[in-house]
Amino acid sequence: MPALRDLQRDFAAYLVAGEETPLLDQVADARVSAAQCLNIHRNNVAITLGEALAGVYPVVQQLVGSAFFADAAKKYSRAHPCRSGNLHDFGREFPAALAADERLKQLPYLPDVAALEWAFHEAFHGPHAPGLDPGRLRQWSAMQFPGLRFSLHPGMGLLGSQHPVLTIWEAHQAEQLPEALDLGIGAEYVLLTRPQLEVELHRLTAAEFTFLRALGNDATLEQATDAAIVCDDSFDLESRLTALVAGGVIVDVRE
Amino acid sequence: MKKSTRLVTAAAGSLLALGLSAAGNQALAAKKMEKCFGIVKAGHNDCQTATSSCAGTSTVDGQKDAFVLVPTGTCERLVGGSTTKG
Repeated sequence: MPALRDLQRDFAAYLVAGEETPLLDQVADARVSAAQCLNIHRNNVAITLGEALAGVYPVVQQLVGSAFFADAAKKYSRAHPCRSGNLHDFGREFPAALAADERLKQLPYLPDVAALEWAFHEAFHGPHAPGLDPGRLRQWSAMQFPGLRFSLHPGMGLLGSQHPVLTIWEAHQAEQLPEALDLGIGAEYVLLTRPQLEVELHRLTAAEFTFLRALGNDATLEQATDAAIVCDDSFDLESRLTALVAGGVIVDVRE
Repeated sequence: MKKSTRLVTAAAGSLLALGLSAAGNQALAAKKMEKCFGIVKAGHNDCQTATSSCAGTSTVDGQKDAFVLVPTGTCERLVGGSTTKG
Protein backbone atom coordinates (compact mmCIF):
# COMPACT_ATOMS: atom_id res chain seq x y z
CA MET A 1 0.00 0.00 0.00
CA PRO A 2 1.65 3.26 -1.10
CA ALA A 3 1.70 6.31 1.11
CA LEU A 4 -1.01 8.90 0.43
CA ARG A 5 1.61 11.34 -0.78
CA ASP A 6 2.90 8.86 -3.39
CA LEU A 7 -0.63 8.05 -4.45
CA GLN A 8 -1.42 11.72 -4.96
CA ARG A 9 1.82 12.34 -6.79
CA ASP A 10 1.16 9.44 -9.15
CA PHE A 11 -2.39 10.66 -9.69
CA ALA A 12 -1.28 14.22 -10.48
CA ALA A 13 1.41 12.93 -12.84
CA TYR A 14 -1.11 10.74 -14.59
CA LEU A 15 -3.57 13.63 -15.03
CA VAL A 16 -0.87 15.73 -16.67
CA ALA A 17 1.03 13.15 -18.71
CA GLY A 18 -1.59 10.44 -19.13
CA GLU A 19 0.92 7.67 -19.46
CA GLU A 20 1.16 4.20 -17.98
CA THR A 21 0.68 4.56 -14.29
CA PRO A 22 1.25 2.46 -11.19
CA LEU A 23 -2.17 3.71 -10.12
CA LEU A 24 -3.83 0.99 -12.16
CA ASP A 25 -3.07 -1.52 -9.43
CA GLN A 26 -4.64 0.76 -6.82
CA VAL A 27 -7.99 1.28 -8.52
CA ALA A 28 -10.61 -1.42 -8.31
CA ASP A 29 -12.31 -2.64 -11.46
CA ALA A 30 -16.04 -2.11 -11.20
CA ARG A 31 -18.69 -1.75 -13.88
CA VAL A 32 -16.04 0.09 -15.84
CA SER A 33 -12.44 -0.98 -15.73
CA ALA A 34 -9.83 0.80 -13.65
CA ALA A 35 -8.13 2.03 -16.81
CA GLN A 36 -11.39 3.49 -18.09
CA CYS A 37 -12.14 5.13 -14.73
CA LEU A 38 -8.81 6.88 -14.75
CA ASN A 39 -9.17 7.85 -18.39
CA ILE A 40 -12.59 9.37 -17.77
CA HIS A 41 -11.31 11.40 -14.88
CA ARG A 42 -8.30 12.61 -16.85
CA ASN A 43 -10.45 13.62 -19.80
CA ASN A 44 -12.77 15.56 -17.54
CA VAL A 45 -9.84 17.45 -16.11
CA ALA A 46 -8.51 18.21 -19.59
CA ILE A 47 -11.95 19.33 -20.82
CA THR A 48 -12.53 21.53 -17.78
CA LEU A 49 -9.13 23.20 -18.15
CA GLY A 50 -9.66 23.67 -21.88
CA GLU A 51 -13.04 25.28 -21.29
CA ALA A 52 -11.66 27.51 -18.58
CA LEU A 53 -8.95 28.69 -20.96
CA ALA A 54 -11.47 29.28 -23.74
CA GLY A 55 -13.58 31.24 -21.24
CA VAL A 56 -10.69 33.59 -20.53
CA TYR A 57 -9.36 33.79 -24.09
CA PRO A 58 -12.38 33.87 -26.42
CA VAL A 59 -10.77 36.31 -28.86
CA VAL A 60 -7.59 34.26 -29.14
CA GLN A 61 -9.79 31.26 -29.80
CA GLN A 62 -11.55 33.09 -32.63
CA LEU A 63 -8.27 34.32 -34.06
CA VAL A 64 -6.61 30.92 -34.31
CA GLY A 65 -9.74 28.79 -34.71
CA SER A 66 -11.21 26.20 -32.35
CA ALA A 67 -9.05 23.28 -33.46
CA PHE A 68 -5.77 25.10 -33.04
CA PHE A 69 -6.92 26.61 -29.76
CA ALA A 70 -7.86 23.19 -28.37
CA ASP A 71 -4.42 21.91 -29.27
CA ALA A 72 -2.66 24.94 -27.76
CA ALA A 73 -4.81 24.63 -24.62
CA LYS A 74 -3.91 20.97 -24.26
CA LYS A 75 -0.20 21.66 -24.57
CA TYR A 76 -0.49 24.55 -22.13
CA SER A 77 -2.39 22.49 -19.57
CA ARG A 78 0.39 19.94 -19.59
CA ALA A 79 3.25 22.45 -19.47
CA HIS A 80 1.58 24.64 -16.83
CA PRO A 81 -0.56 22.37 -14.67
CA CYS A 82 -3.19 24.13 -12.59
CA ARG A 83 -1.57 24.87 -9.22
CA SER A 84 -4.49 26.59 -7.57
CA GLY A 85 -7.76 25.33 -6.18
CA ASN A 86 -9.36 28.32 -7.90
CA LEU A 87 -9.84 27.75 -11.61
CA HIS A 88 -9.78 31.52 -12.14
CA ASP A 89 -6.05 31.47 -11.48
CA PHE A 90 -5.45 29.10 -14.36
CA GLY A 91 -4.10 30.55 -17.62
CA ARG A 92 -1.83 33.34 -16.42
CA GLU A 93 1.13 32.17 -18.52
CA PHE A 94 -0.91 31.47 -21.64
CA PRO A 95 0.14 34.73 -23.40
CA ALA A 96 3.81 33.82 -22.85
CA ALA A 97 3.16 30.28 -24.06
CA LEU A 98 1.59 31.65 -27.24
CA ALA A 99 4.60 33.92 -27.75
CA ALA A 100 6.89 30.90 -27.51
CA ASP A 101 4.83 28.79 -29.93
CA GLU A 102 6.74 28.56 -33.20
CA ARG A 103 3.55 27.93 -35.14
CA LEU A 104 2.30 31.41 -34.22
CA LYS A 105 5.26 33.45 -35.39
CA GLN A 106 3.10 34.77 -38.24
CA LEU A 107 0.75 36.36 -35.71
CA PRO A 108 3.00 38.69 -33.70
CA TYR A 109 0.00 40.50 -32.19
CA LEU A 110 -1.51 37.35 -30.70
CA PRO A 111 0.38 37.29 -27.35
CA ASP A 112 -0.63 40.91 -26.71
CA VAL A 113 -4.27 40.19 -27.52
CA ALA A 114 -4.01 37.31 -25.05
CA ALA A 115 -2.43 39.64 -22.48
CA LEU A 116 -5.38 42.00 -22.93
CA GLU A 117 -7.81 39.14 -22.33
CA TRP A 118 -5.95 38.11 -19.17
CA ALA A 119 -5.99 41.74 -17.98
CA PHE A 120 -9.74 41.74 -18.61
CA HIS A 121 -10.09 38.53 -16.63
CA GLU A 122 -8.08 39.99 -13.73
CA ALA A 123 -10.02 43.27 -13.79
CA PHE A 124 -13.27 41.30 -13.65
CA HIS A 125 -12.21 39.21 -10.67
CA GLY A 126 -10.09 41.90 -9.01
CA PRO A 127 -10.82 43.58 -5.69
CA HIS A 128 -13.21 46.46 -5.15
CA ALA A 129 -11.77 49.73 -3.91
CA PRO A 130 -13.46 53.10 -3.44
CA GLY A 131 -12.07 56.00 -5.44
CA LEU A 132 -10.26 58.90 -3.85
CA ASP A 133 -12.49 61.47 -2.17
CA PRO A 134 -11.32 64.68 -3.88
CA GLY A 135 -11.98 66.58 -0.66
CA ARG A 136 -8.91 64.90 0.80
CA LEU A 137 -6.71 66.82 -1.63
CA ARG A 138 -7.52 70.02 0.25
CA GLN A 139 -4.96 69.23 2.94
CA TRP A 140 -2.26 70.24 0.44
CA SER A 141 -1.70 73.55 -1.28
CA ALA A 142 -1.33 73.74 -5.04
CA MET A 143 2.41 74.33 -4.58
CA GLN A 144 2.69 70.95 -2.82
CA PHE A 145 0.93 69.04 -5.57
CA PRO A 146 4.05 68.31 -7.66
CA GLY A 147 5.41 66.13 -4.83
CA LEU A 148 2.24 64.09 -4.29
CA ARG A 149 2.11 60.38 -5.08
CA PHE A 150 -1.05 58.51 -6.00
CA SER A 151 -2.14 54.92 -5.50
CA LEU A 152 -4.02 53.40 -8.40
CA HIS A 153 -6.93 50.99 -8.15
CA PRO A 154 -5.58 47.52 -7.25
CA GLY A 155 -7.90 45.83 -9.73
CA MET A 156 -7.20 47.99 -12.75
CA GLY A 157 -5.24 46.85 -15.77
CA LEU A 158 -2.85 48.81 -17.94
CA LEU A 159 -1.54 47.46 -21.18
CA GLY A 160 0.51 48.86 -24.05
CA SER A 161 1.19 47.06 -27.31
CA GLN A 162 2.95 47.77 -30.58
CA HIS A 163 -0.14 46.27 -32.20
CA PRO A 164 -3.73 47.59 -32.28
CA VAL A 165 -4.88 45.06 -29.68
CA LEU A 166 -7.98 46.92 -28.56
CA THR A 167 -9.19 47.37 -32.13
CA ILE A 168 -8.71 43.64 -32.71
CA TRP A 169 -10.44 42.83 -29.42
CA GLU A 170 -13.39 45.13 -30.18
CA ALA A 171 -13.85 43.68 -33.65
CA HIS A 172 -14.28 40.24 -32.09
CA GLN A 173 -17.03 41.34 -29.69
CA ALA A 174 -19.40 41.78 -32.62
CA GLU A 175 -21.32 38.94 -34.20
CA GLN A 176 -19.68 39.61 -37.51
CA LEU A 177 -16.04 40.47 -38.01
CA PRO A 178 -15.50 43.33 -40.47
CA GLU A 179 -14.47 42.31 -43.97
CA ALA A 180 -10.85 43.00 -43.19
CA LEU A 181 -9.11 44.66 -40.30
CA ASP A 182 -6.11 46.85 -41.05
CA LEU A 183 -3.40 46.41 -38.45
CA GLY A 184 -1.35 49.23 -39.91
CA ILE A 185 -2.72 51.69 -37.35
CA GLY A 186 0.01 50.53 -35.00
CA ALA A 187 0.41 50.77 -31.24
CA GLU A 188 -2.48 50.94 -28.81
CA TYR A 189 -2.70 51.58 -25.09
CA VAL A 190 -5.52 50.33 -22.90
CA LEU A 191 -6.77 51.02 -19.40
CA LEU A 192 -9.11 48.44 -17.89
CA THR A 193 -11.34 49.32 -14.96
CA ARG A 194 -14.32 47.73 -13.28
CA PRO A 195 -16.28 50.51 -11.58
CA GLN A 196 -19.24 48.24 -10.73
CA LEU A 197 -19.77 44.80 -12.23
CA GLU A 198 -18.81 45.78 -15.72
CA VAL A 199 -15.26 45.78 -17.02
CA GLU A 200 -14.58 48.95 -19.00
CA LEU A 201 -11.84 49.35 -21.56
CA HIS A 202 -10.48 52.79 -22.29
CA ARG A 203 -8.24 53.65 -25.19
CA LEU A 204 -5.34 55.81 -23.99
CA THR A 205 -2.84 57.98 -25.81
CA ALA A 206 0.82 57.07 -25.43
CA ALA A 207 1.23 60.06 -23.08
CA GLU A 208 -1.70 59.02 -20.91
CA PHE A 209 -0.35 55.48 -20.74
CA THR A 210 3.10 56.74 -19.78
CA PHE A 211 1.59 59.03 -17.15
CA LEU A 212 -0.44 56.24 -15.53
CA ARG A 213 2.39 53.76 -15.64
CA ALA A 214 4.65 56.28 -13.92
CA LEU A 215 2.06 56.95 -11.21
CA GLY A 216 1.68 53.20 -10.75
CA ASN A 217 5.45 52.95 -10.32
CA ASP A 218 5.31 55.39 -7.42
CA ALA A 219 6.47 58.49 -9.33
CA THR A 220 5.47 61.88 -7.97
CA LEU A 221 2.87 63.85 -9.88
CA GLU A 222 5.59 66.05 -11.31
CA GLN A 223 7.78 63.10 -12.39
CA ALA A 224 4.82 61.40 -14.06
CA THR A 225 3.90 64.64 -15.80
CA ASP A 226 7.47 65.03 -17.00
CA ALA A 227 7.37 61.54 -18.51
CA ALA A 228 4.06 62.26 -20.23
CA ILE A 229 5.29 65.55 -21.69
CA VAL A 230 8.30 63.81 -23.19
CA CYS A 231 5.80 61.56 -24.96
CA ASP A 232 3.48 64.35 -26.04
CA ASP A 233 4.13 68.02 -25.44
CA SER A 234 0.42 68.82 -25.53
CA PHE A 235 -0.51 66.34 -22.75
CA ASP A 236 -3.58 67.73 -21.00
CA LEU A 237 -2.80 67.00 -17.35
CA GLU A 238 -5.72 68.89 -15.88
CA SER A 239 -8.41 67.00 -17.76
CA ARG A 240 -6.64 63.63 -17.42
CA LEU A 241 -6.05 63.93 -13.70
CA THR A 242 -9.61 65.04 -13.04
CA ALA A 243 -10.93 62.14 -15.10
CA LEU A 244 -8.73 59.65 -13.23
CA VAL A 245 -10.03 60.89 -9.88
CA ALA A 246 -13.64 61.00 -11.10
CA GLY A 247 -13.34 57.57 -12.68
CA GLY A 248 -12.06 56.01 -9.46
CA VAL A 249 -8.75 55.01 -11.03
CA ILE A 250 -6.88 56.98 -8.37
CA VAL A 251 -7.80 55.62 -4.95
CA ASP A 252 -5.30 57.17 -2.57
CA VAL A 253 -2.86 60.06 -2.21
CA ARG A 254 0.17 60.72 -0.02
CA GLU A 255 3.21 62.97 0.10
CA MET B 1 9.06 77.42 -13.27
CA LYS B 2 9.40 74.37 -15.46
CA LYS B 3 6.53 73.24 -17.60
CA SER B 4 5.51 70.16 -15.60
CA THR B 5 5.42 72.14 -12.36
CA ARG B 6 3.28 74.78 -14.01
CA LEU B 7 0.89 72.13 -15.36
CA VAL B 8 0.63 70.39 -11.99
CA THR B 9 -0.12 73.52 -10.01
CA ALA B 10 -2.72 74.59 -12.58
CA ALA B 11 -4.37 71.16 -12.41
CA ALA B 12 -4.25 71.33 -8.61
CA GLY B 13 -6.34 74.50 -8.62
CA SER B 14 -8.96 72.80 -10.74
CA LEU B 15 -9.02 69.62 -8.63
CA LEU B 16 -9.19 71.54 -5.36
CA ALA B 17 -12.11 73.60 -6.64
CA LEU B 18 -13.94 70.47 -7.72
CA GLY B 19 -13.65 68.86 -4.35
CA LEU B 20 -15.33 71.78 -2.62
CA SER B 21 -18.98 71.64 -3.59
CA ALA B 22 -21.87 69.49 -4.72
CA ALA B 23 -21.74 71.28 -8.04
CA GLY B 24 -18.09 70.38 -8.16
CA ASN B 25 -18.92 66.74 -7.58
CA GLN B 26 -21.32 66.82 -10.48
CA ALA B 27 -18.72 68.40 -12.70
CA LEU B 28 -16.32 65.71 -11.56
CA ALA B 29 -18.77 62.96 -12.42
CA ALA B 30 -19.23 64.46 -15.86
CA LYS B 31 -15.49 64.32 -16.41
CA LYS B 32 -15.22 60.57 -16.09
CA MET B 33 -13.17 58.84 -18.69
CA GLU B 34 -15.02 57.90 -21.78
CA LYS B 35 -15.19 54.16 -22.13
CA CYS B 36 -15.04 52.57 -25.51
CA PHE B 37 -16.31 49.21 -24.37
CA GLY B 38 -17.96 47.78 -21.33
CA ILE B 39 -18.92 44.20 -20.78
CA VAL B 40 -20.34 42.04 -18.02
CA LYS B 41 -18.73 38.66 -18.00
CA ALA B 42 -19.83 35.49 -16.32
CA GLY B 43 -17.50 33.52 -14.11
CA HIS B 44 -16.77 29.98 -15.19
CA ASN B 45 -15.56 28.42 -12.01
CA ASP B 46 -18.19 25.74 -12.08
CA CYS B 47 -18.94 22.42 -13.67
CA GLN B 48 -22.21 23.42 -15.28
CA THR B 49 -20.95 23.46 -18.82
CA ALA B 50 -22.15 20.96 -21.35
CA THR B 51 -19.11 18.78 -21.56
CA SER B 52 -17.49 18.84 -18.16
CA SER B 53 -18.40 17.01 -14.98
CA CYS B 54 -20.38 13.83 -15.45
CA ALA B 55 -21.33 14.65 -19.01
CA GLY B 56 -17.73 14.29 -20.14
CA THR B 57 -17.51 10.56 -19.77
CA SER B 58 -15.75 10.09 -23.03
CA THR B 59 -12.95 7.58 -22.93
CA VAL B 60 -11.40 8.97 -26.07
CA ASP B 61 -7.79 9.67 -25.38
CA GLY B 62 -7.49 13.39 -25.86
CA GLN B 63 -3.74 13.41 -25.32
CA LYS B 64 -2.53 12.39 -28.74
CA ASP B 65 -1.20 14.96 -31.16
CA ALA B 66 -2.59 13.61 -34.39
CA PHE B 67 -1.17 16.19 -36.76
CA VAL B 68 0.47 19.56 -36.86
CA LEU B 69 -2.15 22.25 -36.67
CA VAL B 70 -2.03 25.72 -38.18
CA PRO B 71 -4.17 28.67 -37.10
CA THR B 72 -7.34 28.84 -39.21
CA GLY B 73 -9.45 31.43 -37.45
CA THR B 74 -10.23 35.08 -38.02
CA CYS B 75 -6.52 35.89 -38.09
CA GLU B 76 -6.71 35.33 -41.85
CA ARG B 77 -8.77 38.49 -42.13
CA LEU B 78 -6.39 40.81 -40.35
CA VAL B 79 -4.46 42.78 -42.92
CA GLY B 80 -0.89 43.69 -42.24
CA GLY B 81 -0.76 41.61 -39.09
CA SER B 82 1.40 38.85 -40.46
CA THR B 83 5.12 38.97 -40.72
CA THR B 84 7.19 36.68 -42.82
CA LYS B 85 10.17 36.78 -40.51
CA GLY B 86 11.03 33.75 -38.48
